[in-house]
Formats: sequence, C-alpha cells, structure tokens
Amino acid sequence: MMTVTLKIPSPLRRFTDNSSAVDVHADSVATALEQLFSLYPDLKLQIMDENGQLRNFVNLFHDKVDIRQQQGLNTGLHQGSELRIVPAIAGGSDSRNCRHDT
Amino acid sequence: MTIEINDAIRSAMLDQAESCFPNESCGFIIGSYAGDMAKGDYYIPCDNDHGHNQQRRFLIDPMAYQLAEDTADANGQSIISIVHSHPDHPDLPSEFDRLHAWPGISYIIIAVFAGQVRSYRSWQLSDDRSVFHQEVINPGD
Repeated sequence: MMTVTLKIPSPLRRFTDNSSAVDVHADSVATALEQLFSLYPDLKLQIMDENGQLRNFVNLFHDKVDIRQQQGLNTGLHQGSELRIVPAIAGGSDSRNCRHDT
Repeated sequence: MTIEINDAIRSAMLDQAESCFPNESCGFIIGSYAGDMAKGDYYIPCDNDHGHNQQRRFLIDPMAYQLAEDTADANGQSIISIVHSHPDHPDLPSEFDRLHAWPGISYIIIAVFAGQVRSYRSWQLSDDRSVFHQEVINPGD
C-alpha cells in the first residue's frame, strides 16, 4: 500500500479534528476514502450518498485532475499521490424552500 | 454560531448582488474562527459559472475555490462563508441550496428585488443535513 495524502476542505475540518491533510495507506481512490472514513466516520455522510457514490457536488482531484476524468473511484494511486476534496459550490433560488428555523 | 462582517465586506457583497441582478451573484468571505464566532476579514467576489439559468442558479469554479482556500490557509485564515443572492426571491435557503451545502460553514443569502437589496441572512446546515439554522450576523470593525 502507498502512502497518499487527502486534503480536507475548510468546511469538513471540523470532522477531522481541524486537520487540513490526512495521510492514509491505499492503492485506489476508493480504498483511500475507506481509510479516511474509518478514521473519521462522520465524514462519510458529507461525501458519499446513500448509494455509495460521491455526492454530486463533491469533486475529488487526484494530482490536480478530476477523478471523473480518470477512472472514478477505481482510479489507481501511487506513492505520494495527493487527493483533494473540493466542493462544487452551487445553489440558487427555488420555488421550494427547505426546512429552516429562525 | 455568530458571524461578524465589517462594513467593507457588507458593501462589497451587497453591491455585487445588485450589479449582478437579475442574475445570481456569489463569493467567499475569508476570515477566522474564535470559539463560536466567525470573524470576516475580506470578501472575494466570484464569477457565476453556471452555464445557463444564472437567474436561478450559481456555480463557482472548483479552481476558484481551491485558490481561495490555499490563500486563506497560507495566511492562517479560512473560508468562513459562501455568499449568494436570490434575485426576486427571499433570503431563505432553497431545497436546491440544501442539497449542495455542507455543515460547518455559513451561507449568506441576499434577497434582491427589482435590483435593490431588500434583506440578507446567514444560515448553517445541520450536521445531519436536514435543516438550515439561521445564525446571528454582527457588525465588525
């Protein structure tokens, strides 16, 4: 297994004891995420959907290239790989408001 | 959580919201945390990269996010808020907003009607992603 570094975006650092980077041992994106979730289980809900896929507003960049342009979760990693979690910052007005309290 | 924003940030984000009308504006507030308080230092206006329907949607380039985060990290700061406008809609989070939000960061929504800012509020998504809670906005120095 290779040592790879996962870079954590600001909003999710509260789930990683404020760490901005986490080293794991993995040979694919999927196993790197499994390692990350084993260390910080509360992260999984924020990154994966109920079908075990990346939430559609979550981007993962492997060495600065979107994994969707590689082999997705099956993308192979190498020693020293950097995996960066990047939110797709999106939103907008809608006729349907969500639950909120004021 | 309470968020503190100074006059420069307030002016920058509200002016952008009016100048982008009828499209949605968007940007980041960079600052720092102290306990339950997030204190804004400056505002980064962003381009709305949504390919169509910018009157109802916004999208920020992931590269713009990475640049803002790297700059903040290098200075010991954080992205403390994501700001966007709702043209001709209230400053309440939509279901589309909820689906694209993360807990742990403020979302400021600006209501702009007929090109004039009417109101704005700040929100945070609950950890279970089910509901937005409004947070207090304090004036800063």
